[in-house]
Amino acid sequence: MNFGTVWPEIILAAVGMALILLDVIVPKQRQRALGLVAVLGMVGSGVAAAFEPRNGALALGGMIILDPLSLFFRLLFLAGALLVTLFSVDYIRGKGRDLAEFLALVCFATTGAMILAISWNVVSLFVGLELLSISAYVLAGFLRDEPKSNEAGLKYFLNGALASSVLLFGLSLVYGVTGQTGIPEIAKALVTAQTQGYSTVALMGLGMVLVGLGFKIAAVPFHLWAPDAYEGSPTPIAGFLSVVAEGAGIAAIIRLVSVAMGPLEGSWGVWLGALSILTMTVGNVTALWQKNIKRMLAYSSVAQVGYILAGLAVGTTAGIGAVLFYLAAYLFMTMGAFTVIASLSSAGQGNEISDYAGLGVRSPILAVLLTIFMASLLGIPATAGFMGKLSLIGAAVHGGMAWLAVGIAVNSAISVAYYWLVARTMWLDPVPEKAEPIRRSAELGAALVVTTVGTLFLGILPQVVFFFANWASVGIR
Amino acid sequence: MPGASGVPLIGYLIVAAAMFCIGAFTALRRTNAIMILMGIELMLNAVNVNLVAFSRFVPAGNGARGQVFALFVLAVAAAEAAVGLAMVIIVSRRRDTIDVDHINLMRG
Repeated sequence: MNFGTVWPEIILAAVGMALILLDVIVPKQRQRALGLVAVLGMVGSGVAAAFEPRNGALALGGMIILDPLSLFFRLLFLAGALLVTLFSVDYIRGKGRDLAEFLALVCFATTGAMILAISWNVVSLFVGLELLSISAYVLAGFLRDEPKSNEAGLKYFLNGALASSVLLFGLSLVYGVTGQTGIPEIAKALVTAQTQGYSTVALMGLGMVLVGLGFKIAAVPFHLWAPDAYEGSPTPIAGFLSVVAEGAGIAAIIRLVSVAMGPLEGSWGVWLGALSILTMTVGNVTALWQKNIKRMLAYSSVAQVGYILAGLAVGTTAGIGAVLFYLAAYLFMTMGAFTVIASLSSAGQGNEISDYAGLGVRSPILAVLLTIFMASLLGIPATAGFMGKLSLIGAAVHGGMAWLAVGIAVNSAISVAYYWLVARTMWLDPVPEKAEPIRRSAELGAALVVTTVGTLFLGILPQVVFFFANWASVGIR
Repeated sequence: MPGASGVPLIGYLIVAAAMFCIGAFTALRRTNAIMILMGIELMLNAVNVNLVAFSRFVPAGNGARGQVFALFVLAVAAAEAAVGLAMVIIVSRRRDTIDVDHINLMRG
């Protein structure tokens, strides 16, 4: 066996374990430097990923595949983890919790997401998913002294574990029909299984897989845990859940549904489209009356999952390409928004939208940045979100599902209301009496620069990432 | 095509489906966090019954895959239960309840 093909995962897991070791060696007041260790580990892992083959080679006995899609997701998850690390240093230390433990869990969760994304077998895919999920449950409940964080962790855990068992039952049915656990073998065996009349069982399996993954990515009607998990989690973890954990769920859908069960006959593309419309509409409409900004962003990210599902429902190469581009755009704009929220709450400000009154006067830079991220989530031209939505709409129209394009357009119009509410509160509402000035640390500054540049770069010069996304989506099956 | 014990595949599948439904019902209807956890464990074990039963009946040479998958499910379920019980303990220490209907600080 050649373990060289999984160097990125080995490096990241090793850094996670090293952090736990360093926790007892490095004195408490010096532990800020551990953030640097984690960042270097993630950069090293990314460099290793860039040097891996990407020609579709199989490795570790056919359990993993090294294709452009693997490279895309590895880099996406590492970028997400890097941003989370940058803006959690102050936040976690400010809460008086152990930074090393936190960063180690982020490393392990990201390793799980990467294993999931490169899997070419449902067993390794499941193990990656669980490594991600179990680490993420702990991270959501990481602020042990805060009842809200406990509650977030417990709710996320109970829903996530339920989702895993439904997903597994679906996978066991698929195994029963095909006798295979390899993703390409399942696809091949399903073709013959259909001629033998087993397609009902296979469709049941597919349905349960979709329900399980629907929980993981918080698609409506399986999204009820998401607002609580986002609101109660540490703010960096809310960002992690919405970018890395949901991105991993999307990767699993691409590998399991689009590739392994692609040959299944039936109108599941239309069902996925219906799920997409339902998800974006419920997410956007519920976001309208949220008072807490993290909760509002949770519903907003439910809506964004709806947009992403539209691309998966179309299922063409262009559709998957649009999904990948949207995930990259989503990484920068969502992480950016959560970074601003984290820097404000590190400075002692609350998470209610009304607490943002007069931010344009108190901290113009943060207010401008949050406005940019909101504009991008909304889909204003010259931002990443605009190009993302444009490519999703284009893919839907060309894929013969124009009704999805209409759904995205209508939902973008609905979402104006709640993004505008935040912008209006920041810029037009009067400054409160006892407003404190806001400090920023070097790490937070770096995270803000990266997310802002990413959001604007993808909006103005999207060609590079478009090319990468389309290249990654061509060879998926 | 009966197995070595003479029980046909459908028998195992019915048991697994029943276990899964009982587990799902427990997880969705009970409000005690421990009971929900037990329901989830029952569902995972239904998966294992399914996998092992299928592994006996799928074409020769493919059986080991299901059995190995079942071992992975067992290991992961144990890890999941360990983390879950730890969380329940933390909540019960702070709140004196593990009734999920009473753990509701966040709404909306």
